[in-house]
Amino acid sequence: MTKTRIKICAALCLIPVLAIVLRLFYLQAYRHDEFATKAERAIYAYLAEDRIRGALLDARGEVLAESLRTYSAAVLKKYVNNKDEVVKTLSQTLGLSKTEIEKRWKAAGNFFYVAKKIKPLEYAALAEEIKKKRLQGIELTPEYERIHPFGELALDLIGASNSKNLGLSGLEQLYNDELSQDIGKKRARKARAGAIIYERDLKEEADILDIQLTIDALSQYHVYDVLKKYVETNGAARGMAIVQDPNTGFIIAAASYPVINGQSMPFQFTYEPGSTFKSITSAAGLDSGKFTPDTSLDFGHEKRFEVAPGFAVRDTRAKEAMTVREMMEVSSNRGAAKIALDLGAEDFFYYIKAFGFGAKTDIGFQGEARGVVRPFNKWNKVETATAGYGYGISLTGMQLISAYSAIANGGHLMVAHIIKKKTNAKGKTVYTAEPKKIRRVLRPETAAALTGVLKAVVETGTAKRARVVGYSVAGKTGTAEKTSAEGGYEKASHIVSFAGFVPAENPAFTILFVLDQPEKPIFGGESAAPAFSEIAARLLSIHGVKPQ
Amino acid sequence: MKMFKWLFIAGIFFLLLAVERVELKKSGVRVSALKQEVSLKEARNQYLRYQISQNSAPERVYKAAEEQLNMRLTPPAEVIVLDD
Repeated sequence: MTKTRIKICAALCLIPVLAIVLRLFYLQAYRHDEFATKAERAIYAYLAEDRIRGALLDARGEVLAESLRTYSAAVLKKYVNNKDEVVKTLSQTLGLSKTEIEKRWKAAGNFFYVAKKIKPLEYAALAEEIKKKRLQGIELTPEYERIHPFGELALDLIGASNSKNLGLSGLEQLYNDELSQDIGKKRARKARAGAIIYERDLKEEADILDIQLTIDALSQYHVYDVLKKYVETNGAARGMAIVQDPNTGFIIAAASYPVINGQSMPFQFTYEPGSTFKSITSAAGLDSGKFTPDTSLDFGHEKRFEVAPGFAVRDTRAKEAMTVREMMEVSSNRGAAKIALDLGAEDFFYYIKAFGFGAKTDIGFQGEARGVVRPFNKWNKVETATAGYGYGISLTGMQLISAYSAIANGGHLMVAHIIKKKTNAKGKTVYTAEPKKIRRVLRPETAAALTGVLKAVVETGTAKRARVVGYSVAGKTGTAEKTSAEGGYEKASHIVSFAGFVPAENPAFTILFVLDQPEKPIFGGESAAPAFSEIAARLLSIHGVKPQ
Repeated sequence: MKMFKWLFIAGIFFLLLAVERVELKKSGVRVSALKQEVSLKEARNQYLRYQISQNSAPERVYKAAEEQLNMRLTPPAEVIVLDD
């Protein structure tokens, strides 16, 4: 009897234990996910994903673009504990009218944005008020604003990035991988009131670079200022100006006007250069040894130069005979055509390619154009002759300025650089650009002789307005008719330009200035040459280049 | 008696361990709050630097110099360069 009672008691005692075991089994087997999630939420918080981004600096270390952490403020209506106080606080700290917030409140469902890109000062005030008044239902989310302290200066090169810190165009896109770093979602332990408990594995080493450009903001401003003035006063559709250090290949300034984010004319705009290309023709002629600056180009008594049946080249101011130097001074198409033909298509093509035409620079700018240089074996006599004075060949500003720099520095084609230095988050330099020669294009004697010819162009030729008091200038004007969509050329639509370097003997700057479709005047000597002079004067002054 | 002594020592040990764990978490919360504060202050500094940079932008400086102070850029030939 006693044994039976003990058994009953034991069974009764086991029932709750069994019930607990069964309940535990049920919770573990069937409701595991639900409780695991609840526990996860109670113990852990997830830090938001992030993408940090380095800065773009100018050659002197001035910030051209950097990411500022801003915040967006939104309201989650169903979590709001004190509507009047929430509206009042948002209105006071963010400088918005109460009526406006109320209006959005009524119009929205549960969620609406009150403000975006809230600056740190406002954010600090708002966060403080929320904490002090224990307000609920206001959600502050970090985002980024890419700031440009110098406004639209060099924005065509820099390009754009979005609020998620992702590069969209220009250098921002080209160097996106080096500039930005994704920080993954991180799990952090929560303390009371939702505060995060910091642990060592929450620390993320920044692996981003700050990129310093060769662009000097001060020079860029002056170049842009002159460009803007000349585009507007000449009624041009657009324009570009580039400044390069001929000795290092570093690009000091590269401006486009009007400015469009990430769309840089110096890299992307291709055009037929016209007479500025005669310097390349002359360089090829002189370097081949077939011509000297004093070689006479004789056209007999003809004022036209018949290249092929049905195609003759004429000059506006024709001379029956002229030297190579005079040909450049008066910018004779007949003379340039004759040099190209006497040189022959193959040799001429060799020099054109050696100067870097028809190939992209090493910069790799987004959308950089290659230009068009057809293979010499497809050239007939007419195409060879027209190439001599810059028609039938298209190029970019970057290619032409690098070619002029080669003439300026004694004959070396230099690698064009736009990036000067890359620095990691610890301040250590991981890349420094060094001047690099691609190849020798001209013999030093040729470069010196051609510099003399280009000086004559400025002193007594078509480019007198490019002169700078106290300095010798070497350069060449260009006026080219634009190609028509229907084929051929448009007589009323021009590209005017000037390419040159200063001081001629010991050059500090190579400068290219181009206006696309100016209304008036249509000659490079009248519009582009004075712009060159103004840019050169300003740069020589701010860089302290000694007068000769 | 000996067993009570060991139990006492173990009790003290676990108490210290618990106190240490609590303090560690408190420090973690403080570090986290400080990091947030530092991050906010950095952003504020960055914004102030941005405003300074905006004010020293070449365009702004040149306009102010020309319009308010009637200054002009010196022609390069008139610049005297002092050697180092």
